[in-house]
Amino acid sequence: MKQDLTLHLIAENNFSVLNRIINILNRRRVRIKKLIAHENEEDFRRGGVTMVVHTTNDMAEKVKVQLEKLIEVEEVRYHENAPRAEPSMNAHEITYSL
Amino acid sequence: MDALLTKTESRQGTSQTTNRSGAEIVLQCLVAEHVDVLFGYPGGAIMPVYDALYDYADQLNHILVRHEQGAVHAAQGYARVSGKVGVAIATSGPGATNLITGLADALIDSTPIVCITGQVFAHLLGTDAFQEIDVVNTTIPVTKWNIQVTEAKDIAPAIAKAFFIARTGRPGPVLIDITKNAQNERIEELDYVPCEYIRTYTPKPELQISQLIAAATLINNAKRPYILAGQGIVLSGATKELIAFSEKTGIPVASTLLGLGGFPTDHPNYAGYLGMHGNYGANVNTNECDVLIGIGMRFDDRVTGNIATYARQARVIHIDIDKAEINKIIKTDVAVYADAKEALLALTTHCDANQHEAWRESFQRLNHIEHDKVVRHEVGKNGELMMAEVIHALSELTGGKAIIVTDVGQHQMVTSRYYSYKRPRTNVTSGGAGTMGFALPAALGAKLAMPKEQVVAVIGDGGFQMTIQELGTIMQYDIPVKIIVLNNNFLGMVRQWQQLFHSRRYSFTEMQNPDFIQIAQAYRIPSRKVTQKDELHDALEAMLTSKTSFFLEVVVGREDNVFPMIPAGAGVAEMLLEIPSETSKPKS
Repeated sequence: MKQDLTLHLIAENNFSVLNRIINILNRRRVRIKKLIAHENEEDFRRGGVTMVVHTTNDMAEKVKVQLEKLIEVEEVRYHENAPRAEPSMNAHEITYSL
Repeated sequence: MDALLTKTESRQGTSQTTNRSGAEIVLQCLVAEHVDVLFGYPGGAIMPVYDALYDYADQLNHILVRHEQGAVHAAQGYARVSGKVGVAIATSGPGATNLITGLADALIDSTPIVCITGQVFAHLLGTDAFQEIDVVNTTIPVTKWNIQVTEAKDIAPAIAKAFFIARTGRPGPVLIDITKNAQNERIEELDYVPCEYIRTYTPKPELQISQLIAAATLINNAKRPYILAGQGIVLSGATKELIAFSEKTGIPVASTLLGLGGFPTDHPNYAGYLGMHGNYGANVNTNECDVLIGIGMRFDDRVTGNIATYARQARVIHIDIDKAEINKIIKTDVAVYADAKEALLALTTHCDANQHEAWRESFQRLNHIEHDKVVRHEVGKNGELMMAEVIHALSELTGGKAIIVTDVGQHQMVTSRYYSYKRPRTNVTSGGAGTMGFALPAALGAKLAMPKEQVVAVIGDGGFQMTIQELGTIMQYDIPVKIIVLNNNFLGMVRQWQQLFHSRRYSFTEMQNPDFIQIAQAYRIPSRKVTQKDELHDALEAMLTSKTSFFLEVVVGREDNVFPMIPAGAGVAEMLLEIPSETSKPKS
């Protein structure tokens, strides 16, 4: 059953990493409802992405391991409920509603 | 860019510096990575590298191909037989996009290659400059990793990282896009430092003992265990370990298309070749085993057929270095996330000795049915010349020890069925991507990597014409590769599907071909054409004993089909041994 899942990624911060992440979701036709990408305020060489996706748990697991395969990606987590408070989104946030 | 490379975790060089251009640094790095051959095609944005190459002729053997697709496939062929990283160079724009098919092919077939592309000056990026294409974003889906470099100081760390990523873990293609200003820029260059570690990348997972014990327990309790061996066996160099494991446990071993050669086909425990056109016993018994052990393979749809009916009765153990392959297609009972060689060594220790004689004999029984229904008709002495007969004779004459490079289509399936591969890294084919035009350039790359080995390209008349221009490369560098074109004047595999599933409506599959012998002669390649059975043996002998390249055209039955066959959408147990009677008649 499809539901809203929140996906958190920590990755190296470089020009193409957001594109790589979105490519994996697009290829699996996972709908992105919200996406926030941000630089780590303490270390500009790292960054994070938080997104709300609408998909099944099974697909989320498959996407998670594909994302973990990306060379730049350090950590991927997902949980079932939408985020109540989004982390470090004040300084450099870019928010897309897709 | 800065963010990525300043944090490269390789050791920092400390010794003397020299003033060099970015282009020279590229070549210095390739030499430092022990590259001996590279395949490429020059153009505006890569000209500084080509200018520098002029002074590196004694260290780097650059092969000028006739099309960038030829360069990338040649690099693949080189990598597949040698286990080393293959290198291809191209210019920006169309030069770079011509690499894409090969990159996609190398990604799905886990082939370590590094492609270096020129790019327009950094200040022109995004301005639609001449021959500017956004190559990094275009190639993200077809590379294991890629990077754009805009400053000379970042070239060496990028190349170091590229080679490390390409060859480690599950190997794959990496692309480095270097702007022209970075190639021209002169900097004080530090000694090259190979990359050995990347913080966010774990190429080889540590074998988990709990997973191993769970797998060994399933295997020790199994009555009909069955190994499906993929290319992971070849890539991890685990042939010896697989043989030892199979011999101790008595478990039959079947091979995927890319796994061929990873387990000797003449071994008594060899169960056959898996897939849509594989062996009857190997496929049908997938639905009879009680424990299925996939090693270094990815349950491709050509292997599984309909997954709803695939091995439902079996407990599944999946051993793979790539975590994303586990549970991707088939739900796994025990996942062993590890290098195949390490896993097999440990499993051999933990598994009990066994025989499974009756189970192994069941494969022989089914394969006898296949022999009776299919093989004996195809390699028999009577009737028209068939593809199978050519490959069977080639296999006999080379003792199954040549490096065989195939393209895509009927000839590929026939070669996989009839060539008796004995050694790893002797089977080079385009598996996952199914790239027609792969074989000719891949074969020349393979020959340059292994000059002492007999390298034979087996190609169909369709695929041959997709990269036929590489005959020019073979001519220019005197590469003694042997070429067999099995000519049926059809796009044979598509025609077979049209016959079986589209009421024999042969829509645009008939080929009017040129005189291939005249073409070979134009490229000064000795050649021969075979149209009769009794000419075959002599012609193959002449080809194999030739010291130079040799082109052999064999005219085969126009409407030969490849059987057995699992029809698209059917299960492995529904394999057809012959053409169903209702589809054999022409449409009225």
